[in-house]
Amino acid sequence: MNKKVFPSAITLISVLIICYILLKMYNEHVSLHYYFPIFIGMAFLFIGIYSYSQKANSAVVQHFFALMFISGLAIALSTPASLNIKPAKELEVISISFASYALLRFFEYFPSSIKPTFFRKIRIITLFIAIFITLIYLLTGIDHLVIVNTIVRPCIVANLILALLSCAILFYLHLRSNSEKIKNQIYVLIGSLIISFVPVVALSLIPDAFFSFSGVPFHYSLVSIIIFPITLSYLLTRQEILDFREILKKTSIQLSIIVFCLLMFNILLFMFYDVELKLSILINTLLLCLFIVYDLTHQVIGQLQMKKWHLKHQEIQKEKLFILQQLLNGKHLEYCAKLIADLIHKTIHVTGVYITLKNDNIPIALHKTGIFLHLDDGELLSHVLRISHFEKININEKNCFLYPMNIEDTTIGWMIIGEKTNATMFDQEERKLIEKIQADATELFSSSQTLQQIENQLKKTTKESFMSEQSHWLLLHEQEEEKRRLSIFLHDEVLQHLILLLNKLEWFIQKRNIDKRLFDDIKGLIQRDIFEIREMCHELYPVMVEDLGLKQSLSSLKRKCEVNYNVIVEINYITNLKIIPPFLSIQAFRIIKELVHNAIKHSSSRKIVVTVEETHQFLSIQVKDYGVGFKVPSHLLELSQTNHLGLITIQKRVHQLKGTMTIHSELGTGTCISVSLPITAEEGGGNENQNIISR
Amino acid sequence: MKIKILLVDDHLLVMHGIQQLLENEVDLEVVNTICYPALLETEIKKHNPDVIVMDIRMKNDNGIEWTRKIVKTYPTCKVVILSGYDYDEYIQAAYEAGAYAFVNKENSSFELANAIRQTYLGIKSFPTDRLHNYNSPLTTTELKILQFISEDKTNAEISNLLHISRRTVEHHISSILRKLDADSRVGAVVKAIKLGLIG
Repeated sequence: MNKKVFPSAITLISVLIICYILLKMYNEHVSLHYYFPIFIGMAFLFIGIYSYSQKANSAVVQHFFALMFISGLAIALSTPASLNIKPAKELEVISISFASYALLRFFEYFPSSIKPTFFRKIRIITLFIAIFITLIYLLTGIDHLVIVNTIVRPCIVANLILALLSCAILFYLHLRSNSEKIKNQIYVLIGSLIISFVPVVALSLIPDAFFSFSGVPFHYSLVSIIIFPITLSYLLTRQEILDFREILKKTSIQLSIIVFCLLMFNILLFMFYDVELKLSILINTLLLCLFIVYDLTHQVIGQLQMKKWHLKHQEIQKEKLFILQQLLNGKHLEYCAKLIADLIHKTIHVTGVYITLKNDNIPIALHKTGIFLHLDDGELLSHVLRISHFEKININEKNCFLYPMNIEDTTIGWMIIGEKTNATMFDQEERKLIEKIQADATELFSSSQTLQQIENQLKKTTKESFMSEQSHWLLLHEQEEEKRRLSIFLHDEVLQHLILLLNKLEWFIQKRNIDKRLFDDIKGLIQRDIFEIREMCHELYPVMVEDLGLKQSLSSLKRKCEVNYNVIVEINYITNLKIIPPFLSIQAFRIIKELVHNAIKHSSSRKIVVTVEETHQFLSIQVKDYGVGFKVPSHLLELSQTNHLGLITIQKRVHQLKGTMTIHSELGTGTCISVSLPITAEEGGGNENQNIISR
Repeated sequence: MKIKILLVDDHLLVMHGIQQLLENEVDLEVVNTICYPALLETEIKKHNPDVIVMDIRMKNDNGIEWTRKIVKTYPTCKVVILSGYDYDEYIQAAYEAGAYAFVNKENSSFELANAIRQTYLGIKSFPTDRLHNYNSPLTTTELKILQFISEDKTNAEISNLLHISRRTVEHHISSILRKLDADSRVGAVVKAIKLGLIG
């Protein structure tokens, strides 16, 4: 902050000094053309300070300001110095001796920041020379004209020439190492440097300092130097470091108003008074200075005023960041609320803070301090519900301010703030601060809620994907197992039996007579094989469903189960003569078969009831047992962890058929699984039908 | 006069085997064999067969459906269903469709020829009554299995005890039920105790 105020302040002081010198010069009846360098110097100063105020944090701009300030001061004071007007001379000597240093310093950063070592050395040399000159001048030279003429002046000029030459070498280096685009800009820079400095150095300074004869007066040779800041401004704009077009745009209205005012003032002045030109120029200049002084003071004071507010604002930002970080670290909303309450207490001395947030539409107290500690949550919350605007409320005869946290039209929570401890009203600034905190808290809580939701969703999704991955793996495994079983069946049973049959047939041939016992033996073997292969086929694909329909297949299933397991299977088939597509029948049969086998395997129930009903649009299936039951997991995929693939497979099947499945199970009383499949025209079901192993 | 038979089956090898077996019989004559039921109507018009022997499962056709059609359109042609599946449901379906007989493919040619003769005479013959199985004795394995069933052993346990596959156990049980004319395991055990087969 102070860093920002300082340049404005010293510019102000210099402007005041220049004004003082202007008035003094006027009193000593100096002719008009002596004023030119002063205007040029002031132009330097203003370009410097306004570019600085636009982008104070950039190093290039800072050095640009320093260069403009020092050189501007030197130029402005050069004429008064030659006229021996105090304190112009002293200031001029100091500023011009440091101008070379500022020049080198600036070109160290611009057009690009390459820093050859020799350049840095020269910069230090110029700095030493500048300090040397200043010391000599201040200690001894002020009153000794001889020393000034023999040491100080040549030193200053030499220093300046040294700086300019090293700049030229630097540009030469830039020219060699940079691209075409930059090269053009450097040419422009060199050109402007030559045009602005060569006349004054060659025509005025060198003859004056080294040859002790006065060359061209400054006020003539210095005019061209105004090109220098203009070129620099152009280049800074081109390099997008500073946008002078924007400065002009911003100040153009002010400038035009000023010009208009001056114009009006002059017209009025000439209408009523007989004023000579010199005086009017002086008055105008002073007025212009006045405007600028006003503008600069305004800026400085504005910045000083901003300071307090800005500090608090920064603190809030810092606090907000901290809270967000806590949130990201998984800290709870309560903790955030505590931090917000602390922040309010830190900002303003209030009697208490109460923060509540809606969770699933039920407000929950997150944090309370001060007067609210002794209050009942229920009572407090009854005050806040249904309030969606800022309101002053009275709780237990204490004044409180209620700030709802709104996102668009919905209220997500409330902040209740007690009155100030000294019982005064909130002033404008405090209210603004609280509103700022309110807005930030709203943003914070809403983002935290979103974050929480996202986190929950993420957890769920991660779990699901893990489970489905696991189940995929199990299914793959299952498929492999199925193939293995088929292969074992073919190898261990069918193949072995065929080999056995072949051997028996060979005996048949050897014996050469038909042995009834042997024949029966072979016949039995073959019949067994036929039976087994047939069963295997039926297990692989329930052909009967396709041939005879679901109802008949179910009664076959019933018989088979009853014969092979000690259970009673009851089938209730409520038909409404709906035409069920074969594909759906097959799927329904597979599902029922799996469920029945599950019940036989796991429930140890002696009775299983299967109900199938054809309704208007659905085929509803219910398989019920009266066995041991099981704990239904919240997510069916959890069953995959215990290798219970049956139900998962069924669920996947049901899901693909766009049906629904519900499981009711109680330990000790049994399980009832209901599946509802929509009856739609056959679609995509052709595949399985075409793969029928026709026999 | 020989009984004119038309064979319909999409398994060529099996069909020709049956044709050979039937042609050994003096009173039977296979007038033609066809693979596709679509050709049925022209063949019926051409040969006017007495009996049509047809498989249930054919690649794109359903023998039961065709039976219904034939019964309706050509009442003089009687249908004998020849099937690889001997599930009761198939037998039932064939009966309901109007077939005169249901013969298992693995049964002997004698049974098929017999069924054809009976059909020709207008006598229906279905294996539901299974009279021919009633008196055949249980094998030693079947007796052992019956004993285990009476001890309330599951199929899995039996297959482990006898070192045979689960499916083989199922085969034996279905054979036991058929021989004892029982509907369930319990029924079979009860009947076996009644007959003094197990203690």
